Amino acid sequence: MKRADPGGLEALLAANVPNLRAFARSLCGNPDYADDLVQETLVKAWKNQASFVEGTNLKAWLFTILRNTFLSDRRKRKYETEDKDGIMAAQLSVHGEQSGHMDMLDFEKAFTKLPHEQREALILIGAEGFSYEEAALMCGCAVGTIKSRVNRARVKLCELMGVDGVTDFLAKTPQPDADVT
Amino acid sequence: MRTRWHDEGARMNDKMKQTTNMDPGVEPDTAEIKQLSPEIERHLGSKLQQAYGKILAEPMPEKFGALLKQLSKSETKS
Repeated sequence: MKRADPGGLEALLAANVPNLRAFARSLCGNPDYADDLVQETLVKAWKNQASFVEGTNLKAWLFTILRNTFLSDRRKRKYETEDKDGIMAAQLSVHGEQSGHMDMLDFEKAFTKLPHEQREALILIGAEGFSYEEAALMCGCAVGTIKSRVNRARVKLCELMGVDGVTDFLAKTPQPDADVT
Repeated sequence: MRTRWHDEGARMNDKMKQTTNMDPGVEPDTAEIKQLSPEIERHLGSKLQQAYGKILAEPMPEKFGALLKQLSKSETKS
């Protein structure tokens, strides 16, 4: 980032705020905490602008700062929203098993039941349109790990939502041992 | 003809059952990865984009503009 043009950086960061907010909220599920994360990200980005490699993806760089901040908070147990989510998810699945079938959830509720790694992978790939390679770099893991997180997230969402027509869709898929002839 | 195919199918099914029985300790990670149909993936994708788009469309709270201005000012001062 050119230090000679701080006005340019201000505009570039401002342009990314909506995406940072949406990403943060998808990660932590708490709007106030999400905005704290975005503010912290903006300050860090400003202070470390010299370490941004020009010509690379600014949004990817900012998202990486935000997720690292989020994960470091989690390690410090500064915020425990995530843990409460986990407990809620556990209770829900116990209830599901007892009653014989899971209540249908809408997409947004189902999404919050996913582990944060899966939410992150799904957002990066499915909502932000990063490539698997970019997402793997941002998350510091293998491309295959991102792929399997996305896949498991989708399968879990289907289970949780009892998605309209998921069973119909599956029924329509040709079975290998179907007696066609 | 039909009977032969049926027998073939039955043998295949038995083989598959055997394989499953022989392998009780499959890694849960690989075992639970199902492949969803493209229709379902599209359906989930559009739900995700709708939910994400709602947050994207929210107006940016003033505090972010103020923070960026403040950062910008401290830059020019230093």
